[in-house]
Amino acid sequence: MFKNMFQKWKKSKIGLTQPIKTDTDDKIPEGIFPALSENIITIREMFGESFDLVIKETQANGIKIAFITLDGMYDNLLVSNAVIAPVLDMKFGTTEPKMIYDHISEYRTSECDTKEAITMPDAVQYLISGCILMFVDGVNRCLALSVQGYPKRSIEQPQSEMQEFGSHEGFVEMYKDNVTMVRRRLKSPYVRFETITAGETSKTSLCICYHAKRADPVTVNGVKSRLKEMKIDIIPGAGAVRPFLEAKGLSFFTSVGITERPDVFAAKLSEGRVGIIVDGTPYALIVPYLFIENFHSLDDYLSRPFYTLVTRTIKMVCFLAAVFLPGIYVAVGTFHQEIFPANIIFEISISIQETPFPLFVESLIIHFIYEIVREAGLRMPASMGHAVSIVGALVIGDAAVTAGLISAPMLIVVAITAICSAVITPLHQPSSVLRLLFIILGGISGLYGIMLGFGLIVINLCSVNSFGVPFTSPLSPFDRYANRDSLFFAGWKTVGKRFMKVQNLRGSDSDANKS
Amino acid sequence: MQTRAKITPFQFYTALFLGRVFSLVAYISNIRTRLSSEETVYETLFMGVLLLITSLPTFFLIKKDSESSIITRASCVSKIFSKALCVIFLIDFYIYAIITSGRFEIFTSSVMFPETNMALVLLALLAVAVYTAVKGIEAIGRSSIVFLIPVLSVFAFVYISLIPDFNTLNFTPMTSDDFSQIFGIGVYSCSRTVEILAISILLPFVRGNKKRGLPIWTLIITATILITNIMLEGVLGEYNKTQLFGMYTLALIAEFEFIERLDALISCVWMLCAVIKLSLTFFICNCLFSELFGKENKLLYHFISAAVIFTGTTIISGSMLDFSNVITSATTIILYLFSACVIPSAVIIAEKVKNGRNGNEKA
Repeated sequence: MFKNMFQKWKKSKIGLTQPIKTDTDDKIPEGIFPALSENIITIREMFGESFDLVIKETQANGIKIAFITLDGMYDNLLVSNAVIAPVLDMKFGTTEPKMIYDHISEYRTSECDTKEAITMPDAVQYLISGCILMFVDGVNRCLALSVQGYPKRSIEQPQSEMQEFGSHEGFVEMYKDNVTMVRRRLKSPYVRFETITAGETSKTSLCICYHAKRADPVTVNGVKSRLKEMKIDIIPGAGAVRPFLEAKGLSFFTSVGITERPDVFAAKLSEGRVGIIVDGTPYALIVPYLFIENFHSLDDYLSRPFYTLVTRTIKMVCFLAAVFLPGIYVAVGTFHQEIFPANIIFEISISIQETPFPLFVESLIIHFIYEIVREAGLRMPASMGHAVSIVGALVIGDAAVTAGLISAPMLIVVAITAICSAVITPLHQPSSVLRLLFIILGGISGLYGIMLGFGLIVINLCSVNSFGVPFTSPLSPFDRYANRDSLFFAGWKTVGKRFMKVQNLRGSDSDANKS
Repeated sequence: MQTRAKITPFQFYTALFLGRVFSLVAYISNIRTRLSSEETVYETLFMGVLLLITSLPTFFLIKKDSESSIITRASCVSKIFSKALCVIFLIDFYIYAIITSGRFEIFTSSVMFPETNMALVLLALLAVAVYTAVKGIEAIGRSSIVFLIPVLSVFAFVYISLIPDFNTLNFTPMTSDDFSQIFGIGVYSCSRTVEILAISILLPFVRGNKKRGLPIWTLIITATILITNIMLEGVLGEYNKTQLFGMYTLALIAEFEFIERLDALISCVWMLCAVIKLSLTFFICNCLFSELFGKENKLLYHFISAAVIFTGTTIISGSMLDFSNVITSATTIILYLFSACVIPSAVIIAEKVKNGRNGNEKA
């Protein structure tokens, strides 16, 4: 009954938006015309007044040919040396268009990667990908020559995953460069990179990466089918693909990993995971992804195990503090003052008494202000950074306490929370929202509400399966073998002996025979 | 009862353990006959023996076929028998769930929030439990393991912090009550381990060696109750008799360094146990409803269960008097013995009789 009602409501909402429809496919004729002029007219019509469409008509060996490309998308030198010069200098003993076309294809353009387009949509796809198209009059197909040379960012240090001992290479926007960086780290013929195109308008290339001998075929096929069935108009970044790979059901935590580091990406592939490199974005996605991996970083594996234990423990404590500390402070200050000794409670009570707002409201206000400052720090131009820092530190930090608007203990709690949330960057988004929710719960129902909320979050986490692998694995279901690299790292001498396959974790669907 | 979602025996018995821990903390001592401090040790040991004995029918049920639930096996004997069992179990689990949430409500209204509308608190608890049950047995099993960590930590923390207050003189003289009293209370304590009922129904959802886990689980339960009772009597002594919730009082007087009371901690982890216990009940009720009416309206079954439990709890926990009138020790003992001993034994006997007949017919 509820299902039917929900479906009716859902259907009524569909009319509000337009379904995604390809805006070019219905105008493009399917085949390539034998007549060169007709092909040129078709492409001109398709691109309209676009200034970057370059059409160069010329003759080679007495036959009319045309080069079509998009300005700025190709390498000038390569085009001149590897395409134009060899074709125009061609001396061939026949004027038969088909034979000339074949001759060019086989002998004259061997310096660059050559593909053949039989249909006009394919030809257009190559063109917008930066290839140069070569049409020969009288031939109903064309050559697409890979001479891409558009401006790109050089490989730099990853900005969001800074490491002390790791490589200084980070992914860039060009997916082929990213593939090369991964290939250099996994020198195995079984590492596969398959591309598909997604986005009705953007036609973005997505590269599905996996180790054929280690990845679960069910997972690989699942990823491929989800990406192929994806209904999306444009893909502005890897984050747009992420929801299509997420586990079913609502959760604050994502079951799709994201990384900017090729070394991390390569390591994940070697564990049997599937990676997706999205063209135009320096981030790659990884599935299946486990909750515990939010607390892992490359430096953990490059440091001594005892230190890794310390850093991972710190990260977990920081996550708990970032989510629960303000809520617990509000709950204890409001409902459970008896937990703390009299002198601490006395100090807290004095500070609360001196402020005009109840602890709960005060906490919400200060956290809201903190989020504003954080967001401003993230989005503002670098030149304004000092101004925001001064306003944040002096006005909120000092003046608000001096004026008696905010209590000093509350400010300490906020400061600790802010620092803690910066330690676990992958969980920054859920922790920001959950923190506010737990402040509300703590303010309304004390520690009991917080514990009920904690229970709900844990249950939610435990119910998520990322491509058949329990999100909370290897902690629950507990897997002794996999726990050599969860809360602590047992060291390379122990872990390096055997590789771990993620689908072998206890409780995984793909490992049904395991007891 | 064919299923794809499976949990490990460790997860399964952990969920049941947390359910029993809930009953332990929510033990209302004024609805039982009083024993002298030292006698509770004997009572607990006797309860452990009884628990082992009463779990034997379930043990033999698992031993014979650990993959089928008691309902499936009853349906092999007779369809009507299986439907009747579903109805009996449904009533049983509703009664136990009402007792669970009733204890929760009494605890919250008398200890946690004396001035708050308990219906809202109860609704919140039921909502979380329904959500857990909807997420399935895997979510229940996995979250049980996670909850076990804070539960054990808090219990250990409280007990360790109470060691300086422990007084062995509270256990003298060694005997003062007669055996009939110890026997009666031992049986009553045993009857509060209603989780045994769940084992025979949830067998298909557990993958692995379930048979080995049952005696270990009963021993761990007995040990936990024994330690708690020893702490209660050793720390509180005769004062324990005047307390509504002994475990809560224990946490109330516990202090550790700068933390002057630990009652909030105990109450918090106790809520987690309540969530697991109730969600398991909802899940089982859903399985039973599915056996009776099909699997189409699973969400509806959860809502029906939640409504029944909420209404029942609101009615019986209106006052302590009503609660203690309904939940007498006789009620729980009869229910327990019937469901945990009589029904599994009946299924085993009926199976044997049917197999014997089939054997004779073939011969």
